[in-house]
Amino acid sequence: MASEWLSPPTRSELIENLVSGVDRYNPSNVGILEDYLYHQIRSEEYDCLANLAILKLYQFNPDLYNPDVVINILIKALTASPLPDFNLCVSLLDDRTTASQLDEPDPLPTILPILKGLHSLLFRCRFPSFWEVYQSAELELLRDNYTVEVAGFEDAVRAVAIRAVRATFTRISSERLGSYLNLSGPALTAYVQKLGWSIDASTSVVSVPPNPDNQIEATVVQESVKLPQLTKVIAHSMTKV
Amino acid sequence: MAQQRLAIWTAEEDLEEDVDLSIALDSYGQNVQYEDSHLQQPQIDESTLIAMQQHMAQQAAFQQIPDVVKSFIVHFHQSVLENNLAEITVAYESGWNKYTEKFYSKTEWPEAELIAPLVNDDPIFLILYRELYYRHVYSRLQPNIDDRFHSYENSCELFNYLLNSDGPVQLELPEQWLWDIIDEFIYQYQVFCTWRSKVTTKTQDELMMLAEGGPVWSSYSVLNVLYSLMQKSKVNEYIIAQREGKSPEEIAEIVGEYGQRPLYRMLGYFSIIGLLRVHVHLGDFTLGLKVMENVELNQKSPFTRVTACHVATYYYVGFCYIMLRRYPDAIRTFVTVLNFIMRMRQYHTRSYQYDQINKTADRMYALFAMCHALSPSRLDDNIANIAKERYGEQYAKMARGGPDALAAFEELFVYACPKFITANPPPYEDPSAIDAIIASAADAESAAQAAQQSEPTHRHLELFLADVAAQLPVPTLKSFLKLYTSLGAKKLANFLDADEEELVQEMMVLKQSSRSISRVTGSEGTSLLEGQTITTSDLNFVIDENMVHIAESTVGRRYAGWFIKNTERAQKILDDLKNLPLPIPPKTASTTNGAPAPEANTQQRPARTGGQKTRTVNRRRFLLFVPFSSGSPSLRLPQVLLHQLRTMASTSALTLDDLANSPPFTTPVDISTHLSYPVAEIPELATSENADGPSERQARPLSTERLYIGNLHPSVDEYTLLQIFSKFGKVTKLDFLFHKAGALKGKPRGYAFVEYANQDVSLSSPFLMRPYRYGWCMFVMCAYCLRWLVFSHFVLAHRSMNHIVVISHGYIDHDHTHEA
Repeated sequence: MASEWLSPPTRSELIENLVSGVDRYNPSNVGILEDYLYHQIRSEEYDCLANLAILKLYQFNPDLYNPDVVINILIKALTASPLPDFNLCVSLLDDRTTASQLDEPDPLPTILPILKGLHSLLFRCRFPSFWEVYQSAELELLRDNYTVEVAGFEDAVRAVAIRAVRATFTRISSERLGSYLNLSGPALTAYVQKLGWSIDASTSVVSVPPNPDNQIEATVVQESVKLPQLTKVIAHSMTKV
Repeated sequence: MAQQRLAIWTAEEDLEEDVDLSIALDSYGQNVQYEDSHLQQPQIDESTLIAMQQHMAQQAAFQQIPDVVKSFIVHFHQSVLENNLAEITVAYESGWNKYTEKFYSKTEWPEAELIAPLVNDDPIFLILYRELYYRHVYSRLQPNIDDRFHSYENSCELFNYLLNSDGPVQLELPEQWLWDIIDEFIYQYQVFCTWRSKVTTKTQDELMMLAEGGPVWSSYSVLNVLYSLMQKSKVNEYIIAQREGKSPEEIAEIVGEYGQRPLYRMLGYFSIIGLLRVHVHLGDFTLGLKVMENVELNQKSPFTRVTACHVATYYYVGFCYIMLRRYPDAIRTFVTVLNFIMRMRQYHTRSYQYDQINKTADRMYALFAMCHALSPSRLDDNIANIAKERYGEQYAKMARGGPDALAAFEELFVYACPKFITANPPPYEDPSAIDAIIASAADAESAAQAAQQSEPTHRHLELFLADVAAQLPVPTLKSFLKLYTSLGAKKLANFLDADEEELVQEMMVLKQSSRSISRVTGSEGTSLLEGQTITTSDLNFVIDENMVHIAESTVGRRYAGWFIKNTERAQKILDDLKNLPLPIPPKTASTTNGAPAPEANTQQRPARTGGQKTRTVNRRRFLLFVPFSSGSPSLRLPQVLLHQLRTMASTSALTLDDLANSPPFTTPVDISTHLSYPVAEIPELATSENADGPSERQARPLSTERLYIGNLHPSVDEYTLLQIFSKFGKVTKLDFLFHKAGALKGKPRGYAFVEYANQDVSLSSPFLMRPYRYGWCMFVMCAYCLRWLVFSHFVLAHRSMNHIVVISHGYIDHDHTHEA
């Protein structure tokens, strides 16, 4: 799991060299990494470390700073919950004293608290509230200018909910699942079927297939002593005094 | 890149010198113009006068330097010239600190220019000297802006010399110093950044200098130095080659001419750790762990050779794990190093970095307490207990969850977190922007200003608290679930006075918080960021529509490791005893030794006959810690040893053959017979000793002056202790330690140090033969080399105590020379 996060299979060699080498500090490479970010946005890929490298360059070179890129990175990191990606990105956003080099007013100060709120809802598994807030009128700016560009953003949020449901439930009512996924009726049925989960037609309860997290078993872990542990003791008794 | 930057910097330095010169010339020129009509003579006089005055002032200052310091510097320089590592280490670790305490505890050391004549103007030594000089300024005094700039320049000069000379330089420095160079470099960078970000407190001059400061202490220049050192020494390649088991020749080939030299290799190695630290200061926790990719976190890694480095590494790695929400990894990291610090305590009391290490350890206990509250584990009860002892109040709040917890988390986080910095300076080069900042700060009054100043720390704290806040209801939920095997969600919601849907969502958080990514065993040699999802809680549950099913796993108590460890230890003691050079028994002793021999004695000595060489363990008694936990299934091994030792205790002398030939036990001995060691036997033993030959019971010289007295019963006070130990000689110092903080504040710590005036202290007094406290044992050992010297007699009658038992009075021979 972590190894995929460390280097996603979709990462090219060029990016790998940038992320792992000293070249990551070279400001002239910021373009390559930003292009890679937009590639991620278009093709539903995600590479946290490459995006962190962009933020690192912004941290050291305030004149490179591009608020749209930062917001896109944060939106991508949002759907990695419950991994800490969002926080790791925010950690790198140093306080900016001036934004004089920008032509337009910096949208980040207004958008960042919104994104933090959304992240908190996702991290606390408040999926129905998330959808409610996300679709509210106040967030029109975010939806129209940013998340609309991010291919599959809503599905990525659903994936977060699915991860939580898969670990916690064996069966869940479709009504509840629907509220988590912001889907209902045929759309929900189609989504559930795509996951390979089954819906009971009469009760409309969704069964979640067994996985390591939703199978519980009371166990008593007993100690088992292995021979290698005792080699020293036994070897000692064999030595001739 | 670093080289380039450094080169640019040196160019600037030249420039400054030029400027100085031209000013001097200018003033001279002006003089010429002004005094054109006069004779040339007085001008020369004037300038020479100034030079003379300067010279005399310098002379006077030079006179001020105490002679011992002068000779110290000369000696130090000589050692560096000769690359005499041992002498350098002594001068560096003890000499420097000694004279600092003596002469310079409140003032700077003499300027490098002043002592230059002593060292023949050796530029390299002067750079090293300035390194120490500024470090002293930073640690003991208040550095001003000139110090800050010059210490940067000096560091650059040093690194420039190391990196840009023709080929590797022939300098050798102790590892400790190399670590300190890197560590101090980053420390000064961090301090500078913190200082720089406070705009409002700057004077006009400082603002000017900062505006023109350019690359001084810039993040890029610091990273450049560290990366250059890593690349020059090829340290990553070296570590990989070593892990792959390459031969020394192959490794030498790989690392090149620089990497072969220990100076460069260690600097490169420490630079990796330094990078970790820099990245943590800047808030980049992933990158911090990523640079550590090749470094093995274990007790054999090279960084463990310098304790301060060892401790720092684990501290920063552990902190990164916390910010990555990988609490089990953080716990493991802290436990490892805290155990190490505890074991090493006796050694680094001597280290000049003892205080620093202790402070970091204290921070790590706080961090550990936080992790432990967030993700309880049973990894190490000992460390957990100490953490709870130190931060009991906060820990209780954090573990309970609820509204109080956040404040406790905040308190500990702010105390224990590293100093965070902002990578970029305020816009000093833009005076209007700076004025605006100062003006706005003045408006908003000091409260807002203070908030702004602690900005980076505050930002990280906020993020961490947001994580924690999400988990706050978890402990309450858990405590309810523990009571049931299945429970309706509605019912649970009623208990908690919550909405059912809210509760179900909260349950998903609970599930989430009981999973974590963690490094698993067998992942050695992979990046510190690697890991797999593991379960961190023994409480597991699942929701079936609206019914919560709960299952709890219990972990049986582990005994084996403990017994194996102690059996091995006992075996080692036995082996050591056998290998000791034994004194030749008195002529008569071999046949008539122990006239009043107890019956056990005669029974067990069939082997001592004929021409067989007799090795006698003559009055060499020893102690053994045999822990016992009542009801434990397998006490056999220690019991056998116990019995053997007890036999020894009751005989005045016995041979090793006795030990070897003692019959194996076929039936387990009831432990209680050992535990209630009859008190009445003791005086008897003492007399049998004395009857044996008083000449042999002469005072045993105790070859150390400082003794550690441990495991004191809480009722033992200073006065009692003094009474006891005054019986063996004149006690010059008694350090009786008390808890300074925490729940036990004011209570004795349970140990003390005793110093004697005379080194030949007799410890043969019969006083020690008497049981002092029932069920409690008092240890005495040499505080310097951790060897047991003597122990008081005691009787064990206490079952609730789960350690210490046995045996007899006596001592183990002690010789400092083993410890070199």
